[in-house]
Parts: sequence; structure tokens; C-alpha cells
Amino acid sequence: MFYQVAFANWSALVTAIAFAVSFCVFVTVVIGALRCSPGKVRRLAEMPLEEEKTS
Amino acid sequence: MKTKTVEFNDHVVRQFVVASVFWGLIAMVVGVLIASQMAFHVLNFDTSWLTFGRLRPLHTNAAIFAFVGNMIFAGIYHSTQRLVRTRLASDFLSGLHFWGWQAIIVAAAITLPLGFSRGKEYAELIWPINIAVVVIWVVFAINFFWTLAVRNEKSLYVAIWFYIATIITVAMLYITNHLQVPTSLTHSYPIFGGVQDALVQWWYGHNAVAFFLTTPVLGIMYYYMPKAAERPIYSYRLSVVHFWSLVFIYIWAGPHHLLNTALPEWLQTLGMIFSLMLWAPSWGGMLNGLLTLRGAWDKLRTDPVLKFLAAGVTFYGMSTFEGPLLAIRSVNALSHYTDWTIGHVHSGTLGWNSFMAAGMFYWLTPRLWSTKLYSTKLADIHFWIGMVGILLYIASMWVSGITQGLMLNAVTPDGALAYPNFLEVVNSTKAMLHMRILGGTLFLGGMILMTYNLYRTIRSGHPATASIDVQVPEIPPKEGMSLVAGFLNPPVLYSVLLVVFSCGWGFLTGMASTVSLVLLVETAIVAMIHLSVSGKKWNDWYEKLLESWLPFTVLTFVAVVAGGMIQILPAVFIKQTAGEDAPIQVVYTPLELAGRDIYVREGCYNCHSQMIRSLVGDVLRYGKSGRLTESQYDFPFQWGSKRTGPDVARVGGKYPNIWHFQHMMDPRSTSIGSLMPAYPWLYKQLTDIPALTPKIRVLTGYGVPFPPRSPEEIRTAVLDQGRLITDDLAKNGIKIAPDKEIIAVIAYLQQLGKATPAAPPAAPIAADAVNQASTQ
Repeated sequence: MFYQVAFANWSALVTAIAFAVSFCVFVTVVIGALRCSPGKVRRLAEMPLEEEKTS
Repeated sequence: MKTKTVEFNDHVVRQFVVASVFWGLIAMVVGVLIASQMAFHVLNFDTSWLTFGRLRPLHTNAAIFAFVGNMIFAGIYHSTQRLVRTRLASDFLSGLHFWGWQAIIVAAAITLPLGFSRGKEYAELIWPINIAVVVIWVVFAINFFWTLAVRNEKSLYVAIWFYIATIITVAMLYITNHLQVPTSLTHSYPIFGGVQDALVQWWYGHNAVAFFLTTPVLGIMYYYMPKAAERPIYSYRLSVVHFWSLVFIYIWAGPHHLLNTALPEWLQTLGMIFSLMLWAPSWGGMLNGLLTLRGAWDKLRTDPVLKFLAAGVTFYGMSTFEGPLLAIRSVNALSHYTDWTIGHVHSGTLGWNSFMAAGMFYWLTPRLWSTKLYSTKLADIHFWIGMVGILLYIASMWVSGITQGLMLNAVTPDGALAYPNFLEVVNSTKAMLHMRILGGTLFLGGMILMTYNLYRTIRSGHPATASIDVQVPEIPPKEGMSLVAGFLNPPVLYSVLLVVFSCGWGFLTGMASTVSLVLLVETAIVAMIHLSVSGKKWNDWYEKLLESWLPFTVLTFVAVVAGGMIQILPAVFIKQTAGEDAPIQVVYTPLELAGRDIYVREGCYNCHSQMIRSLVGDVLRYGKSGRLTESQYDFPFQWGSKRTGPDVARVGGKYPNIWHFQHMMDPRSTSIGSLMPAYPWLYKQLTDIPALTPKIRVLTGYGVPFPPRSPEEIRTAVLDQGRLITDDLAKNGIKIAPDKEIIAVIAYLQQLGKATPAAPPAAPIAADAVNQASTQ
């Protein structure tokens, strides 16, 4: 069913590990972001709209 | 809790706005001039510091680092203070950042026309300026992160994330691509050569676009678009996915600049695939920006700010659609080295960067000077003539580029080139070059209108002081999450385990592989159960991450470094590509080396490539496709990215010395219809022979096998080889001294493509030298 991945050289190994590491960061953070509470999301989304005083 | 009034430092924001507008004008004036030089060669004025090869780097550096650079600093400093509800940490560092950056720009504006260049696109500035850039960037980083550390708002808005990614990634890219050893106060050689240099350069070049021209401007979009539309961003969750997808994917896509070259094919494929993957997040971001205008579309008719921002985001979508398209290998075979790439780049810089800058400036300036915009009508006119200008520009470059690609690759039924004369192709696209001048001039006209409009706005107001009241706890709260806690938590640990077991399954053999697979599946199941049972804890981790700039920054750094490894490390292991039939580059003589440095100084790489692609059209026109070992002693590499003139990788021996002599003096005398400028100063200036001693010493240190020579022997070698050329020229009645620069250039050009026959399979000496050079 599964075939062993055969790596011809170190370049392919580096590629695979680099991909795995950054994919790991991506998946972890995106899952966290998608599960963020609605209240928190609403508050974050409205942050640019806060007013300031000017003189 | 106590209430504190925070007064923002908008002085530095005002400074950056004014600087950006000023340098933007300069960049575009130079842009129109060099576009005109492409159509009318007389506009090079036969003057060294006004010639295309020297001014084109000035144009690109001014547009990227001076115009957009100052713009993003203004936007980052203005929006960050508001988003984290505190004043910039240090007024001194803010001032140092501003004045230091302007000093760098002035130094660049002086040195580039004088011919001080490293010969790498968007990285031409000489090493003392490189050091200044790093110092000022560090000042910027300290000021920014210090501000985050003393903030009065716990959560970090998504714009701040884009700024963080910009700061750390640009630092990493810039330092890596500028590793070099000086040979004098104004000259250096990069530590990478040949294919390594090509990889590092385009890793940097591509990601300079990604992390200098895109991510900070996206941060600006996520702040100013809601501000101008007076409604929150359409989907905050989508903005988060947009951010992480870009950070994850962008850094891998650099090799698409080297498709169909001698670069290993797997690396080309990797670059192409990741480029295609960029379609999704880029369009997600574009749609998120545009949909923020939901319910406010009517304002587009009357509000110039929204008009510019909406058009800018639309151009972002268009250029990020076109970029991956051009990264498809078969499309790239048509588009690369042609004007199509130039059109693509300008749809990004003019449409995305300049329109976003204009939108931001029209919104910011009245507020920073406590007044109203001088003229909405003028801003509208700016928008429309700018829009027509962009469209004329990119449409003409599309037509020109596709024409060039089709004609240069066209082959007759009997297998010969349909258009063997390169000049035939050049002449067929001249009308498009004129249309480009018109488009560029219209865009410049819009910039002038904006400058006038903003000037009158500033004159009618006074510098405003902006402040907010913030609730500050008596005891300052601790950072949301420590660096250690940022990584020692269930989501990260599960992810690490999944990666480890995946690698074990893929890389190990036999029972170990099977066990890894079982552990992988089990860990995934446990993680899913854990997630569903204690989901809140996962959210807690993420929400704390949003409040903790340090773990967040490290996480971003990990993602970009992992992607970066893919382009840098494989270059070290590339020796097996020096196959048994690979020709080996001949080491330059001192005179040829001097000629090469003049070639770099004059910016010849802006119009001539030195890489014959593995395409029928290229091979029929220029000869056998390029091999890695043929440029292994080239510090820097000169593969180029555009062919306004033909490839010169194998030009050596193709023409006699007299042809080159006359061609450089008056290109039209040998090539009717040529766009090339003349180089009369090369016939007067002397070759800098003393400079060759330290240059050869540095290159020898990189592993280039120069024979040992004393300075006197170098001088003798230069003059001896020069006399061979001058004697040959004398047969045609030309008298010239052997130490003139033109003689060195002829020697270099006549050497191009001269390689020794294939190395014996058992002795890949040249490849070892490549590796040695890259690890010095």
C-alpha cells in the first residue's frame, strides 16, 4: 500500500525536513486561529477602528 | 487601574511620508528616463553616469528602498502606535532610523551612477552601504520590538504580524545575500559564486518582493482599509490564514527565477509548485481586502482614498495571479528574459505599491497636519491618469514580451530559427517601447499632481498631536506567554511528534519505518481526542500567542528559516551535477578579470544574460545549454534576468576583436537598430591594474585556482595579453594602448564560453572548488 520514499541525496532530505517543519508551524497556528473564540476575533477585527484625540 | 494619556510620535511619520513622496518622484523620473533610453539611445548622452546600465539599478533601488521603504516605515510607525496603544519606544531611535535611511539613499544615489556596483539585482549597493543598511535595520527592529514590549494593548492585531515577518525575514535575506569579502573600500566579491550565487540572489530577489514590497504593505492594507471604510476587516480568521500561508509558502518560491537554466530540475520544480500554491493565499488576502468594502462600495465614487486602496488591492490580486502563471515552466519558457517580466513587476510596484501608498498618503496627510485634503478633484485626476498610465505600461510590455518570446523561440519546419537575427526581434517591438514611455510619463504626471496636492494640504495645516487615553494597571502585567511556554504546550508538542514520526516513516527502513507509521497514526488520534476533550486549552495557547510577541516572532522565524534552508543548503551538495560531460570553466587571466569587473560596473547584466537555457530556441541561437561548472568561478554570477540584447555566455570567439572595439564605440556601426548605449569612456580610462592583486587574493581564498603571481607579474600578464589584442587591432589601423579599459572588456568577452573539455568522471575537482568556495 505504501512505498518507501527513496532519497537520492541530501538535497531531497533537507527539502522534506524543511517542508515538514514549516508545515508543522502552519498547521498548528492555523488550527489555533480557526478555533479562536468569536469574542476575541471580533475585538481583534475592530482594533483599527478605535478613535484618537487630535489637537 | 489608572488612566494615562499616550501622545503618539507622529513627527517621524510625517518625515517618512515627505521622504517617500520625494524619493518616489526621483525614482519615477529616472524610470521614465531609462524607459526613454531604451527607445532612443541618444538619451544615454554617451556619458558614463547617465547610461542605462548604471541608472537602471538607481531606478529599482530608489523605487524599492527609497519610495516604498519610506512609505512602509511611515505606515508601520503610524499604525503600530495606534494598534498597541503606546508611543514609539524611543524618539532617538526613530530619528536615527529616519536620518540613517535617508543617508543610505543619498549614498546609493551617488555611488550607483558612478558605477560602484556589486552586480546583483536589487543588491547592487557596495559593502560600506550594506553595513549601514544592516545597522539601520537593527535600529528599526529594536525600536519596533521595544515598542511592542512596552505596549498597552495585550493582543497583537494581524497587521503587527505582517510587520514582524517583514523585519525578521528581510534581515535574514539581506545579510545572507550580502555576505562578501572587500577587496577595497568600494569593491567586494560575494562569498557565493556561480549557481550558489544565483540561488542565494533569487532567494533574496524574490523574497525582497515578498517581504519588503508585499507583507508590510499587506499590514498597511489590514490597518488602513478598515480605517478608510470605517468597518472592520471582512474576515479576521481569513487574515490569519493569509498571513501564515504567505510566510509558509513565499520563502520557497525563489527558484522560479531560474527555470530552464542549469539549476537542478527538482529545485526548479519545487519553486514552480510553491509559486502555484501562492495563488490561494494571495487571492484570499485580496478578497478579504475588497470585501471589507461591503456596504461601502458607493464611497468609491467620492472617496479618493478608497479608490486608490481598492484599485491597489485589485492590482495585488492581478499581479499575484500573473506571478505564479509566469512560474509555470512552459509559460516561463516564453516569458523569461522578455518584457513580459518587466510588465509583471510594474503591475506590482505601480499598481499595488504606488496606489496603496497614494491611498495611505491621502488618508494620512490631512490627519497628520490637522487639516483637510487640498483637492479631492486633483486626487481623482491623479487616480485616473495613474490608472491609464499603468494599463498602457503593462499592456505594452505584455505585447512586447509575448512578441519577443514567440519570435525568439520560433523554429521553421526544417528545424532552423525563424528569426535568426536578434535585432529583428528588437525592432519589431519598438512601438511598444514608445507606448511604455507614454504610460510611465502619465503615471509620473499623477505622482506630480499628488505631490502638489499634498504640499498644498500640508501648507494649509499644522503638525497635529494625536493622543489616546489608556487604562494602565498599577502593576504592569507579565507578557502573555514566555518563550519556553510558547513551545512546550500540547499543540506544538503534538505537531513536533507528528513531524518526527512522519520523517521516521519516510526515511527509515524495515521495522523502524513501520513503528514510526504506527506512532504517527496513534499520535494523530490522541491529538484529535485531546483537542476535542480540552479544546479550550488549545485556544488558550493560541490566544496567549497573540499576546506574546517573542514566541510569535520565533515561530515566524522558524517557518521562514525552514523554507530558506531549501535554497541555501542544497547548493552545498551540488557537486554530483558536474557530470562526466560537463565542461569546466577556464580561470580568468588578470586582464579578463579586470574586464569582467568593468562589465559588472557598467551593469551589462541588465540587458545581457549569460545562461543558455535548455530550450530549442536558446540552443539553436546561442549554442549548447549552460552547465553549472561553466560559471563556477563567477563571483558574482551574471546569468541575468532580461535580454534586451542577446545572451553572451558563448560570445567568445564569435566576432573578431575589431568588431567588439567598434561595437562598444558605436553599437549601430556593427548592429543596425541596436538599442545599446555607446561606451566612449572605456577608450580613455585605464584599467586599474593595482586593484587586481587584492581581487585575485580574495578569489584565491574562495578556491579559484589562480596561479600564484606577484603584483608585478600581474601587471606584466595584463599588458602582455593586452598587446595581443592591440596588435590585432593595429592590423585594422587602430592604435590604442593595451592598458585601456576597452582592451580588458574585449579580453573578457572573447573568453566567454571558453571551457576546457569534460572533466574525467573520477575527478570532480571543479565541483569541489564550488563547494569550497561556498563554504569559505
